[in-house]
Amino acid sequence: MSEELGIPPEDIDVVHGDTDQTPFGLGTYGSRSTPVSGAAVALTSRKVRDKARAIAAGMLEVSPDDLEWEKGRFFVKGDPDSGKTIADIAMAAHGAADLPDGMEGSLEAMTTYNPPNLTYPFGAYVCVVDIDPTTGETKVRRFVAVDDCGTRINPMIIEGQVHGGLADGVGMALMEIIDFDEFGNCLGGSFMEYLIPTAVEVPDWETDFTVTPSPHHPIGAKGVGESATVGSPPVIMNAIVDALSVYGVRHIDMPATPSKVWEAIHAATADER
Amino acid sequence: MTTAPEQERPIGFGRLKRKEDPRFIRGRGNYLDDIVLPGMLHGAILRSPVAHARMVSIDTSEAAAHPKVRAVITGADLEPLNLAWMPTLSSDTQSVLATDKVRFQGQEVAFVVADDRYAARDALELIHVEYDILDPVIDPHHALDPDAPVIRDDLEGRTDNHIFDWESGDADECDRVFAEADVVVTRDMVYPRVHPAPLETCGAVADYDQVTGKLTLYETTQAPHAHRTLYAIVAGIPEHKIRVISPDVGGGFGGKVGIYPGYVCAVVGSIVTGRPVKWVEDRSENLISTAFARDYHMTGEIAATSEGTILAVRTTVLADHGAHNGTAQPTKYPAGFFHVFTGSYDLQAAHCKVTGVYTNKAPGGVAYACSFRVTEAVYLVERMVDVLAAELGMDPAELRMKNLIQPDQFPYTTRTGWEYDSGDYPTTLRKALDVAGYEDLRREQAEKRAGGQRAGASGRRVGIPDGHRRGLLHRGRRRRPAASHGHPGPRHGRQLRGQGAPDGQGRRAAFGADAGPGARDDVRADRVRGARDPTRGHRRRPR
Amino acid sequence: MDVTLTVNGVEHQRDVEARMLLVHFLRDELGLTGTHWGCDTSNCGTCVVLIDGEPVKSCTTLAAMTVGHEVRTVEGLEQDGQLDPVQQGFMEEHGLQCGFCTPGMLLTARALLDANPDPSTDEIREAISGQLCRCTGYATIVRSVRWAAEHGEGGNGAGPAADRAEAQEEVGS
Repeated sequence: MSEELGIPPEDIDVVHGDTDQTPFGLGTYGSRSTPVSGAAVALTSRKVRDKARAIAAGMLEVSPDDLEWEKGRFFVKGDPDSGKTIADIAMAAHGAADLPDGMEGSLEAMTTYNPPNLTYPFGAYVCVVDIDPTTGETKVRRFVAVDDCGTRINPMIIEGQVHGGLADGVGMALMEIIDFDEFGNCLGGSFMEYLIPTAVEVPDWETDFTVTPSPHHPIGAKGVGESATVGSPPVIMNAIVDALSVYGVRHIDMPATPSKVWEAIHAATADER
Repeated sequence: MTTAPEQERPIGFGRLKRKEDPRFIRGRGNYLDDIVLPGMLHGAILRSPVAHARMVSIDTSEAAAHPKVRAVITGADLEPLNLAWMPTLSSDTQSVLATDKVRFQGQEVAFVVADDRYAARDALELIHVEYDILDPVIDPHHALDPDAPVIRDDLEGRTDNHIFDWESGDADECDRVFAEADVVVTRDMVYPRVHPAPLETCGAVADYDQVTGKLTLYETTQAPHAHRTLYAIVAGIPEHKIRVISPDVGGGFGGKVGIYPGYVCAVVGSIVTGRPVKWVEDRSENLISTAFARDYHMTGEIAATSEGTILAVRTTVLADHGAHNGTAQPTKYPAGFFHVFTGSYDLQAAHCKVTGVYTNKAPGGVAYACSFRVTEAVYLVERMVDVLAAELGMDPAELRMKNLIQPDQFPYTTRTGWEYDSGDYPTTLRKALDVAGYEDLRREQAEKRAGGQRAGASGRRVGIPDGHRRGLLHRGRRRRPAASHGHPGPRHGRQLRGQGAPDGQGRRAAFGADAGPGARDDVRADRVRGARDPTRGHRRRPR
Repeated sequence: MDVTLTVNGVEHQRDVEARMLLVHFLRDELGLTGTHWGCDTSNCGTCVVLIDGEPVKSCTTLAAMTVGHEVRTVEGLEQDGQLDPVQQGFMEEHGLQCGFCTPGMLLTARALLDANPDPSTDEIREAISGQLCRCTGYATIVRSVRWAAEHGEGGNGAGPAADRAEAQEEVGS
């Protein structure tokens, strides 16, 4: 919105999470915030800008086509000092004094956005693991993640989302499982059994990016919130199997706990004897 | 060298810090359990200790007599109000408070409302339930056995534990392609049941105003509007009289999408007592009863030419849904977006068949950033590609590069009907390999193996569909297989399979010669820095 | 049972059950909801407070046990309107997303820097290894603590004046 309308971010208040104050939305999940509500914000901002242009034209007594847009203001072509800012236009819009014929007051717009397609972020990951065969313990030495979520709105946020998802992958690959015994007793009912990675069990993430915009999203952006959680478990497991392949191990299921790895090594090498 | 976020400029305004941080770093967040309303009471849930049992009797009199208890609610109380069961997001029903049977360990059986949270918990121990224990169905592979106990006998006409069969792709084309392929590899793999486990557990504060008939409901929810609609349907309160507020949420990851029985109980508790009622679950409740993720038991098959052109991928899946079909996903497919399992590869054919079954476990399935089963789909295809690489004796990065969908093929329609909007997969993979120094890593691995050590490295690709959309039509477009080129096996000194080829087992010593990182302590003491920490917790080492 | 605790330099007296946990005393009795509660086995660390300067999990500490000791919560990090460098660091380096683990992380970081003003990233990771974060993947938390280590000299609240002003406004609204 800041980009489309030239209003500084600190002057924008995003209200969310209250059904009394916000129009209907299906919620936050499935990495849909940028593809769906981000798109809606962009489109709505453009509607506001279009109306602002018409109002500015009335204020400046020119045709809308005679105006140029520079982030935050319209000015008459060839006369840069002549402009009106979005703030001026908003004020005028509510005064209803100089509006074009037939135009209602106020400077607002609403969009109900139904995306024409999903967006398809993608990435390529490389993981390096070291396994201690005497204990079966796996150490993730390095993790390289290159993600492409199209146009990148705020790199700091994107990096944060990726980091969090990569940690999920380490968790699922190495330690997370809700298991049951034969009586149906849940064996993952506390953080003593359901293990989540701590800071010493994850590496310093190495992240990078490429940009392939989405053709159907108003600003070319794609989602990214789940990308790393999707991509990280298989690459870690592939690395573990790659490491254990020298023992003839061809597959091991998640989580590759130390005892499971140890047993896989010994089962595979026992076949040799 | 990776690009740091400071070096990038987001659209327009540079690296933008967050507006909500000043509150959080001061401890001024407004999470669910921070909410205090005048006269607020506290709820607690009594849960089933067993996985499968008939409820013979329930006696709440002692709990109701506790001086700090304001209400005790059971399934029998909810039944006449049509609130004992509620719809799930997957067209099934879920029990709010058990009426006839309990169907998973941790299932909600009764709800106590008391003056404070400690008294509410105390009162749970004063409720006496008699169970007639039944055999549980735990292994999904036995859920469809003819003699398997029927879990959902609450559903009319239900005689087994089968939920759905669903398939996508072209089975006949796959049969043909697989039959003619040079190389076919099969692998069973499990994506185990895991849990999003956000650090903030789930909870609600329900405030029903008896004068205005307005319900204000604070919830840890990722979908307040959807909840409002569901409550209107379930509780019969007009939608405009329901206000759902999602305050600060301490992590959701898909685990806070659905409506949990505790929320409904809090609403009923408020209606019954005329006061606000807060219910917050503890961590055990969160792990045992709220939406789990995954639990897909998959068999993958991949067909290729001997030069490494991937022709087809097919898979059959057994999906363990727990005792109710409660997958929190808005797609019209029972297996969500699983049929995106063709991944980033240009295939001639693909097919999947997914069978969903009930077991005596908590409901869920779609959570933990799965993007509606995309995690399962991508795991399947990426493992299978590596399995194929091992079979062919080919470097897995090279195998991928050879089979990626090319940039000029976009928009690309997959064998299961997805239209990928845009992508340049080879460039991204190349970049990852360069950043990682892939060839150096393989060299290091080869040297270590020659010297008696092991090290593992893996490169992979992923393409993920995102956002929420209606389903797409299938397209049956055929492509001619790309002309094969290149050779499998080691090149440029990358001796990936030097000792690991399927037939050349690499008779390295399994013991002794390997120098790995030093073994860690057996039990990791879960502590923060500080010598005199009296609260040192422990957790079991992964088994 | 009569319990008198010193929290963030202020004495508080309450009559509570002997079994009341420190975390509930802080949250429910004193309204200091910055200290959180995320598990029942002392593994998650969202309940971490400082007792006599050492990080302690308040979910497995009885309020009564802290009589005679100094308790410091996240609310006590800011002094006279000046943020602690760890607080500023977490904002600068995106060391938080949902914010639920953050108070505990901030206090452990504070204790670490008090004992070791120039910790390595390994030392930082070790120091926070008793606490979980499900959002950040830890790298930005480590950067945040390093930021605080590097900007800690010169008192509390180091950071652009504009941020401080904005922060004051946010708190007041």
